[in-house]
Amino acid sequence: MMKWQSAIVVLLAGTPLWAAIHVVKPGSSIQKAVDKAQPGDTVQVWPGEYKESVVVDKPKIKLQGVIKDGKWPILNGENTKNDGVIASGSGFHIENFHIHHYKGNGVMTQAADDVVIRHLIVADTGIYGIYPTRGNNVLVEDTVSWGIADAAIYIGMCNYVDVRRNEVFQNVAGIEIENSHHVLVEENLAHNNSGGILVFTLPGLPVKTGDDVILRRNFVVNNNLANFGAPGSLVASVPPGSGIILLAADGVKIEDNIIRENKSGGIIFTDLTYMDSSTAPDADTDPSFDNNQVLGNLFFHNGYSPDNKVRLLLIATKFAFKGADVMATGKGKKNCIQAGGRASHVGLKEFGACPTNATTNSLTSMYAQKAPVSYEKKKMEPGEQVYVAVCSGCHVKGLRRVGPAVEEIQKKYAGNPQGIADFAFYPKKVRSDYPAMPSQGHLGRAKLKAVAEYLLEN
Amino acid sequence: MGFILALLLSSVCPPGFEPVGERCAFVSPYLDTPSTGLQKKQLLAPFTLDPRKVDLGRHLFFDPILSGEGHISCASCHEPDKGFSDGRAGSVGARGNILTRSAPSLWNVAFAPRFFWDGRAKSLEEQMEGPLFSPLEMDTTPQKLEAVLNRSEFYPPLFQQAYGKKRITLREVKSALAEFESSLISLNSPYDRFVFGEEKALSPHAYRGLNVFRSFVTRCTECHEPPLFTHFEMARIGVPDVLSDPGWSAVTGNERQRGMFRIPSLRNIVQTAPYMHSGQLATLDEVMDFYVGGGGRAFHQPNEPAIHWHIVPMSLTVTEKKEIIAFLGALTDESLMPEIPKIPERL
Repeated sequence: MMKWQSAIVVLLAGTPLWAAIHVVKPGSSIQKAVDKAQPGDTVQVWPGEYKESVVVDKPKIKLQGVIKDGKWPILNGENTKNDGVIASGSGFHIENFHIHHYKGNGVMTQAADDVVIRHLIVADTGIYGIYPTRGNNVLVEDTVSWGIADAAIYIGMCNYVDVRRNEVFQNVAGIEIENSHHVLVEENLAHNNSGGILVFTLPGLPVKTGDDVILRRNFVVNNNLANFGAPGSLVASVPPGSGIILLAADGVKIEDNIIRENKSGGIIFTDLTYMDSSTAPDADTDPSFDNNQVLGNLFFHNGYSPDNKVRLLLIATKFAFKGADVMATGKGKKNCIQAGGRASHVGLKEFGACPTNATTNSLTSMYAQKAPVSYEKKKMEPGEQVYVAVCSGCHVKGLRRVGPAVEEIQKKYAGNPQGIADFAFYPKKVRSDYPAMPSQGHLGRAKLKAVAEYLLEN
Repeated sequence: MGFILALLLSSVCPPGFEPVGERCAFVSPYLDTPSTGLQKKQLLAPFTLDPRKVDLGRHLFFDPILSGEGHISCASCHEPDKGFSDGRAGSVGARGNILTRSAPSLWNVAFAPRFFWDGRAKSLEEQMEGPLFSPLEMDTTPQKLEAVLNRSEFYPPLFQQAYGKKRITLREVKSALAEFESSLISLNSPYDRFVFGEEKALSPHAYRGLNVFRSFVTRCTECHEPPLFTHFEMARIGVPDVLSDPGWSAVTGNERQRGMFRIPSLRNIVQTAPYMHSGQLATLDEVMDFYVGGGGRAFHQPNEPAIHWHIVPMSLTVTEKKEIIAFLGALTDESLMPEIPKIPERL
């Protein structure tokens, strides 16, 4: 009886009441504890060194380090292991680990939703430090990363993400947001990287756009590190001295950041022609930067000595010999800057003035918002859905069923989908040899039109 | 006049599909709400088929009547026991012509948004016009094809059953072939059973291979994204003679897309050697070595042509390479293999 009641609670709350804590101490394996854990359980790891890679394929697993007397649990890849942690389970949560010396990534979540990655030290990994990809509702907060050969924090094709209160330094890229939607990057400190914060829309990926990204109240300072990215990697083309780069990015609002001492430029807008050497064009990816806003921000002493690549680009396209606080090369439309006269700038001729009262202040979190839709590429079109779910019960091709065959409908209404939609909304009995059709008005005009078009085209 | 019993097309849903009204809906746990990223359906969309059209398409697929000289069927280059490919670097077309590219597998084509190695077709119906009407391949014409089918004793009654009319046009032929090809689903491999909770479905060896495969040292999953193990984007990986084939650039006219090809699925990959668009690599071992060396970066100047940025030289042990290959073996599922129909003999 007791168990039966508990089972109901499980169904209601989603997390078992008897959620277990699996304690791991040095000398034992984190992976073994994960293998034993059930959804809802916590794997609690005590201070000490763990030389392993951890993979989590179950939902709702929490990896929780214990920090005691300043000592952390350390995941050490010894420069021979591939990744620190890979998680595919939704509801994955990791905190309180020091992760270093992996050839691949520090922490990576692959297509997992509802992910929390917090309170970590990540250093010296071969690709990314922290890399959630293809997920909805992701939080990355209170982490410190350095010595990463690509991006310390890389948000790849995710939606509804907060990246807040992280420090990233001595990486090629500090924080990179790629082809993602609804991302808030707030109160981070990005210093001494080659590029501080990057928002990229890259071609050749399954998600073709990025939009609705806020960079707010970050410190982007002194990102002048020589680029040590792997030759041929995309990040190798990030010019040292870049505070913030918007590459073909759309819908980015950059508000109230402190942007200082980045020698190539404070904020650099550029289009995909910049990436000529490492990517190929993709007709489905818009190469220009559009609908971006620069609001407020404190700029000081950016662009004083641009990297060679930037210098040549500036000379060739803008007849300018120095960088600036805000600069743009390439194509972009509907971009604006607030109080533009305060920042030094190059190439902003096409930029408008943002409204003086424009602000993102009412938005407090993206992560906490419910992801309403999946961003899947291929879906059944609405018309087909309605046909399969509703119409095909009575109308099919090549066959008389309850109603006339699809071909007859196609013949009668050729070129007139609205006619079908109207009839389905207010049907009347037309033919003595068929029963009257019930009204499908509950589907709504839009769906009826869609299914009518589908019927005529297929 | 003999008594001829006309074939009755099957109205039973093909395996892997369940009846919804008169049609058959694709069934897969990938369509349900995922609790892990591995279960995410990503590109998988629900769809339905008409069982009679599937059955008719099956007969057409295996019937050389579709080719100009009556010797080549779709199955000549898409052989069921070779992963619906043909084991050749270049397929053999009309009059023994050796073609320049290898035949892509047909498993899971229902989910593909583009077809051919160079991505030039947007639907199966558009795709099949390529081989059917190419003088180098099946070498027929729409007129010839319609005439020969309408003249046959076998097909008009079948089209009557599937399409409600005896008069056969190219439109119905393409529709039936597309319906049949869309029924070729391979989503029940040991890997899939692992994903949906059967922990022992993958051997320890193959499981370690999965972890190397999805690790960021190899970055395989970035292009070969589960569950289809491709996201069908175009990429230049730079096999040695890559620039001799224009690839995508012939479709778009953009020279910067020369040597780019559609990323293939890895489902049933062990069945479809040799590999790459012209079979340049004979075995999966060769494929591993190719990628470990940085793909085309080993054969070309650093950025000329630009190799996909996910591919850089990687340090991988011999064991890890073997584990990846073991994992690729766990992507084999031919449980929904269609039956090869009896094609009427013709004199």
